[in-house]
Amino acid sequence: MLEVKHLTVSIRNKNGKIYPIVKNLSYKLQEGQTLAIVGESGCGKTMQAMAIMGLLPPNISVTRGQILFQGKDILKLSKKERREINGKEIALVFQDALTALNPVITILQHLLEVFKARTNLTSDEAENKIKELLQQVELPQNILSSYPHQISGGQRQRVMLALALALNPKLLIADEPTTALDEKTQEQILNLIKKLQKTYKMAVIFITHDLILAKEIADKIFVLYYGTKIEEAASKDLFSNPLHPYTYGLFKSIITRDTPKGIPLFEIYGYIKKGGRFYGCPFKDRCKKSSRVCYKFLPPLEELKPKHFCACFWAKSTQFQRGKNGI
Amino acid sequence: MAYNTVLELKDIKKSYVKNSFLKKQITEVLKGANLILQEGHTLALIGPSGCGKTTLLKIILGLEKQDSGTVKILGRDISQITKRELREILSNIGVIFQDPYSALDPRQTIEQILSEPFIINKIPYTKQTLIKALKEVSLNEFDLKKYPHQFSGGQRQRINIARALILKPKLIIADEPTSALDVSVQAQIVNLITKMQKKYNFALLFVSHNLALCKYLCQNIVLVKQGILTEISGDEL
Repeated sequence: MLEVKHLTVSIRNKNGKIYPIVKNLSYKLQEGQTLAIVGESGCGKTMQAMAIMGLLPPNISVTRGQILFQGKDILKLSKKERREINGKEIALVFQDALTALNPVITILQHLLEVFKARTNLTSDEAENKIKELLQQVELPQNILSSYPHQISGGQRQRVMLALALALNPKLLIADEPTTALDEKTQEQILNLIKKLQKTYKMAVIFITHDLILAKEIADKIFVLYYGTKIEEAASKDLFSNPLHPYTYGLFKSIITRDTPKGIPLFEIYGYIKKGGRFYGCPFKDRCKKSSRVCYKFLPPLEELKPKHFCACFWAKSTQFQRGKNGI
Repeated sequence: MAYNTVLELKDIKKSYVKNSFLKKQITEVLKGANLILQEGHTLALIGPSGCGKTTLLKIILGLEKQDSGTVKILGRDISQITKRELREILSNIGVIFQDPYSALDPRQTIEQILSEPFIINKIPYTKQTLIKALKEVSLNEFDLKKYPHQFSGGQRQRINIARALILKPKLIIADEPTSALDVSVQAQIVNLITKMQKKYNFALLFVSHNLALCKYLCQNIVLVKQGILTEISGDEL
């Protein structure tokens, strides 16, 4: 249904220099599938979603590649044609619900606006539809007359979901929909997304930095680091046997209730770099396994195990020697 | 080995009065809170939002006055001393805030940020002490001339920790220090805090939503629920 081919998104900085923030990204998504994109902040996961929606900021643009949605390249469409697809076919749930909703109009007006702008329904018909929508996202009817600041964070996220689902989209992009919420509400929202996905039969792209959330919701996960895809696998395979040192480090540094006390946590050395061009593997400076090859060449994404892709020279050279639990 | 008591709260009560039309509404936030924290120990405060955690912290820091009860810091009751003495005692408390992005003044360099505790408390300092504090949190001396926006979230939290520790306080209050950070950076910051605690032996009052993190880091866990504090063991989480 959705196919992204060699997508490169570049930023132009103040001095006029252009450098890429998403590099050569390709993936496929089929109907009813859930894909999770995992990565640290600043690795380009939001920007590639914005490229699909056509909402990139003015100094950032797609410099190479195609985005095929149901066979059509949506990057080549005019603004008017693109508008038809956005919302009706592809919908986005934004990261921060409080800033995404308009503070001076009520929830009812938010939802009515969608139907007025996009459909020919009369206001009575639209109101009936809105009531149905509210039932689906499990919100009470009396919420319609309140303003965004009067409702709780979880309720706001539900309103965002209702807005996204209003026109029955085929693809839902959820950009960190649960980061601002506490544990219990997170679980509720996740379950709600799962339920809605079944009823609407849509594909979901779930963007998050929380690996445990990704495991719960996704069929397929890929890990982005500095704009490049470094590992891709079905969520079970990725959890049982992470191949890339970065993914392994991410799993190790999660604190669970079984983490033994007193022993220092596993940490990935250093920080994600800011901007600029470089040679070789993007993770080389923080990687304990890096060698001279890593500084010269960018490791290609290769299928090291069945349906398990990884871009790392070290993982490739040692894959036969390692035991069950990895590194 | 006998420990010194750093912080002692006795039967603290606090209620807010809300004046609505024709009617006074009184909401009790804290209903008699008792707490003892000793040197080198770690205590976690957990609870749903709006349960009174923040009010308790404000009372400890002297930003708000309790209705009844006493707060003793290093054995002295802070409601019965002069302002100058209060400031002296408060210099023994360091605070690490939740949001590393808004806790640092964007118009000050790191040198100014780190020297501010010395200037406020009128303690002499040299540039070497600032460099030493930065090196402890694995930043280097060239960072002294930079501004906060030039650092990533994890590095800013390190600067926050350096500032909280610079006067070698006896008590550190950490208000959700890792909730705004990524998973990999969270591990770095938690390790840094435990390393510093071993070195300086301060008491740590840790406020967090992340139950797994509290269980990992703290010896005692206190649940705040509707203004009442109850101690629970880690296995109950």
